[in-house]
This record gives sequence, structure tokens and C-alpha cells, in this order.
Amino acid sequence: MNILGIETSCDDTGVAIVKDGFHIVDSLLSSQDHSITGGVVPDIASRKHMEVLPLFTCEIIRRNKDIKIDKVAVVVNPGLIPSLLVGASFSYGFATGIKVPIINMNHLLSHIYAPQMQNPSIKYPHISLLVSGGHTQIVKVLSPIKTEIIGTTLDDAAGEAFDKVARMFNLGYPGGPVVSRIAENGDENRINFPRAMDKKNNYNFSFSGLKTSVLYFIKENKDNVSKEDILASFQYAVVDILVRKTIMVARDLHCNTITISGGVAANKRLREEFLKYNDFEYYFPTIDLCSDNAITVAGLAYHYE
Amino acid sequence: MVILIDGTNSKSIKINVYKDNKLFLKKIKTNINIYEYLDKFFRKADFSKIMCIGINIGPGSFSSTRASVAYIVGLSFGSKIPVIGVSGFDILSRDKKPLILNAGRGRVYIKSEDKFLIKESSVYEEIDDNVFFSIIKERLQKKQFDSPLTLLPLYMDDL
Amino acid sequence: MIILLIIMDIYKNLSLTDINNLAIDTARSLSGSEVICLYGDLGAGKTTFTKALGRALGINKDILSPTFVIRSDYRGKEFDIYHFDWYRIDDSKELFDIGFFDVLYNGVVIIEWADKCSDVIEHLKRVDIYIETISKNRRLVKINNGYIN
Repeated sequence: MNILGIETSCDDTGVAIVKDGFHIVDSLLSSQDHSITGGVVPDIASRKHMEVLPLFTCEIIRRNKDIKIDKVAVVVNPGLIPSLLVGASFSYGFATGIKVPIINMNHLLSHIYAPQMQNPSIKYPHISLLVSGGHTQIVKVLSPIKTEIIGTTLDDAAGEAFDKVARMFNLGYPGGPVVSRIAENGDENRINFPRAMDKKNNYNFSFSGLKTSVLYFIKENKDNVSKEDILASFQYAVVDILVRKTIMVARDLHCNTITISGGVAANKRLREEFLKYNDFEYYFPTIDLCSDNAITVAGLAYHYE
Repeated sequence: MVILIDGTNSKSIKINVYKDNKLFLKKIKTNINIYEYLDKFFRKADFSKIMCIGINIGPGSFSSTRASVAYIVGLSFGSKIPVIGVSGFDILSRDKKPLILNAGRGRVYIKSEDKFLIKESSVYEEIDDNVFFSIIKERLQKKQFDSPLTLLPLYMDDL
Repeated sequence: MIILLIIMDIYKNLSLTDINNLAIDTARSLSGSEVICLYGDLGAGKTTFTKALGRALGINKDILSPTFVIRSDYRGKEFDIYHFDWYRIDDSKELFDIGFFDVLYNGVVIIEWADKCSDVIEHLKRVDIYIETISKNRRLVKINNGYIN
């Protein structure tokens, strides 16, 4: 079964064809495939999707003329409302146009599917840390389509904290990769930033206080502490709490397998820190499947009746 | 059969079906999910009988205009049914009316030179569906179709 | 001659509890079509204030920072609440795309980082709330409730 997946929940436009849930036939992503659109696209996300999505769909069909599309799967939530609307509307029209069923997909479940897609023999249930610009959750994964939220952020997402701290140093958007790179040259133990909700049996997160602590620290110590040390210590504060809480959940729920997903899952320091707890089996997606993409959407859709 | 779609009114969608040059069916739904409603309609339609689809590309409420245009673009691209995009200003202009459309809550959309603006005013014109249809009919006869790969809603130039 | 008077309430040295109470009082004074603009640095407490305001208006769901999604919609006890965060907005035209003008005056609109689109804000009837950090747990809040000619 070949499924065409469509992803427009944020800034990136993605289309992909995946066979039987695991085999990638083809994919296009606007952050990578600039040449097809001619390079010049609007900055405003929903306008970009409006221009790029039909072109991408046309191109992927053209490149795979001998493939029959059996279903169309589109992300309908969560995300930026106007962006999702373009994707959903176009996809519904297209699916009806080619007379195939349409499946509503959830952006978060699609992220969580990435490590499963790349490791088909993974055990269930397993614990997944979903961590991105907009979301931070610890999830118990019972099957590709069935999950339980065990812990979540009560204010900012981890990725959002990276973006805002990056902004404090004028490092550009997205902040994660830049902060991470600069932090490599810093001493992460220089400053002990607060880890919020750091109690036994508390599975939730809060990063808003950490963000504020970093801001005050910068204001008061601009001249005596280096940017590298501040960013390294900040990054470690985030990584530390993400990892320890996930490990705590895995232990409490007696799950030996842990996966990570979402944009922040690409963070090297995060992956390193998990591996210190070597009584668990880890599945980390490849970097390209950590960010928003249509591949996991098309893959996950296979598992719905 | 020619089908005219207008999603420019906030949260509502209008579907006019013309058969043999006469208005055969008229549907208006408010407070509805635009793409789901359009889909319910077109899933039951016989594509071989549809000669073309006319779509109002704006100005109008952004969400509903965008949803209706994106749906019809997807439908046209998938089914190969020809699509023709017309703006509310084109319709008023053909009808020889001033280019002022209701934007809700004391505001109007105005076309000035080549720009499309929003201003405060409670004076506006209404779109005549028959004029909409005659523009579509004319372009259909001349086979002046739009490509679903490049058809876009009308965007604001200024605030 | 037109005299423009700006009425501003200034609250000095507020604790978290005081801010909470201020949010509750603000909630009580709303009739359902107000635009509330929140100004302040990162960490000043714009979202914290909004959470307290939202709870007081009867929102049962968790109110999260909408920085990423730009807009979140909620149902309050008496009216709809639209929570915006313009931190990621670079061009005022984006406000059309997120349906800002569609919901304007249709419910209570709360905007964090409203100053990102001051060209749009300056034409609106609104309440401006400025939150300034005095110390870790203390804030200065200024509320600009309107203009009188």
C-alpha cells in the first residue's frame, strides 16, 4: 500500500510517498528542495504552503508515475492554524480528485513514529521523549497509533527555551543548533541553572523559569562569564531535566526501551546524556527524521485501518 | 454542469450548481468546517458531468477563502476538472459597481489602482452571483482556465 | 483645542499573589470584546498574567505559551478568548493569515508582544498592560485603560 503523506503544520512543506508503513519511496521538503519552487517563496508560512504544496505534489507524482497512490494522509493538528488549514484543504481536495480515502494525522504521533519507522522490530510498550519547539512530552507508546501522555510541559517547550535563549544572544532562529554548537566550547558546570519540578513522581516540565534565570544571569554577569559557558550550562540544565525525568518514567513504568523524537531530539548533548544510563535500549531517529517531515506521516498512516 | 464556489464570507461556504445555463442547486452553509463540507459535496459528485469549477479567490475572510481555494486547487489538480479563479473585484467591475466589498465590523475591502486595501467604512457593494456565473461562462467558452499549480487567493497589499 | 488625557493605573511592587489578584480584577471588568495588549521583557510575566486571567474567565484547559503556534483559542465561561503571541511575527500582514482580524472584537483578545506590530495596534481600541521586572519576585505593572478626548 502506497500512502501520500502531507505535512504543513509549521513552516516547512513536506510531501512523501511511503510503502507499507516503512519503505520510503520518495519525499520532498521545502527546507531542502528549493530548486523545484524556483527559490523565491513568501516568508509567511501559510502563503508559502499555498504556493509550494501543489508544486511538490505535482512533482512527486510526476517522479513516481508508476506508483499508485492508495491513500492520502495529512496532518490536521496540532500546529499553526493557517498552515494546517492549507495542507488539510488541499489534501482533502486532492484525495477526492484522485478518488482515494483521506486520513487525518496528528503531528505529534508522526514525530513519535520516527524511531519506530526506522526500527520496525522495536518493543512495545516503550517510552518516548517528544521534544520540539512547540512540545515537550513523555509518552508511553503502546503501538504506533496508541499512546498515553505521562508528562508534559506546563509552560514553554524545551525547543522554545532554546530559541528564546538564542535570541538573548542574537543568534538567529532556530536557536537549537546554534546554541548547541557554541555550547560545545563551554563549561556546562560553570553555572547551576535551576531545574524546575525536580521532584520524585513529578513527570511534568517547566522551562519558563529557566529561561528567566538565564536572562537575569546575562544581565548581571555580562562581563565576567563567557557566552560559551552560559550556553553550555543552559543546555545542560535542559538536557539534565529531560533525561532524568524520562529515565524516572521508564523505571517507574518498567519499560526498558526509550526513544526520542522531535526537533530537539537532534541535539547531540541530549543523546549523549541518555547513553550514560546504560540499562536501557535506545532508539534515536536520524537527524532528518527529527524535524518536521511528511515521511513519518505517510508511514504512520499505514497503521490506521 | 458548472459549479461556482464562494468561501469569502467568514466561516460560511456557498455552492451554486448551474445546469444548462440555469441555477440548478444552491447551497449555503455557515459555521462549518469549509474543507470537510466541500469534500462531502464533491465526494458524491459525478466528475464526468462537471465542465469546470469557478472559485472566488477573494477578497474576503482569510481562513475561509484560503480553505476553499486550497480545496478546489487540490480537487482540480487531482481530477483534472478545469478551474477558473475570479476575484470579487472582477465581479463588481463587470457589474459596473464601485470596487468596495464588506470586510465585516465597519470595514471594507477596496481596490485602489492596483492595490488591495482595508479601510473603515460601512458602505459596500454585494456580489451578484449571476454576474459571477456569466464571467465563468465566458472564460469557459474561451477555454481560459487557471492552472491549479499557480492559482492563489488574493492577498492584502496594505493594512 | 483637544486635550488628550491618558489614564494610567500604576501598581508598584507586586508579588505573584498580587498579580494574580490583579488578573482576577481585570477579568471581572471585561464585557467580552476587549483587546488586551501585554508588554514586557522575556520573563516579565505576560504568560503568567494571561494564565491567571484565563483561569478567572473560566478556561479549564491548560493555557500554554503560544509563542510557537502564534494563536490559541479557548472557551471561557461567558465568552471566547483568543490568546496571541506575536514574538515570531515579522510582518504585520501575517496577522491576516492567522485570522487576527477575523476574531478581533469577537471575544476577548489577549496579545503578548503586541509591540511587534505597533502599526496595527495603534489603531485599535485596547487596554495596554506593561509588566516590568523589579526583582526576582516583584513586578511593576502599569495599566493604560483608554484615552479621553
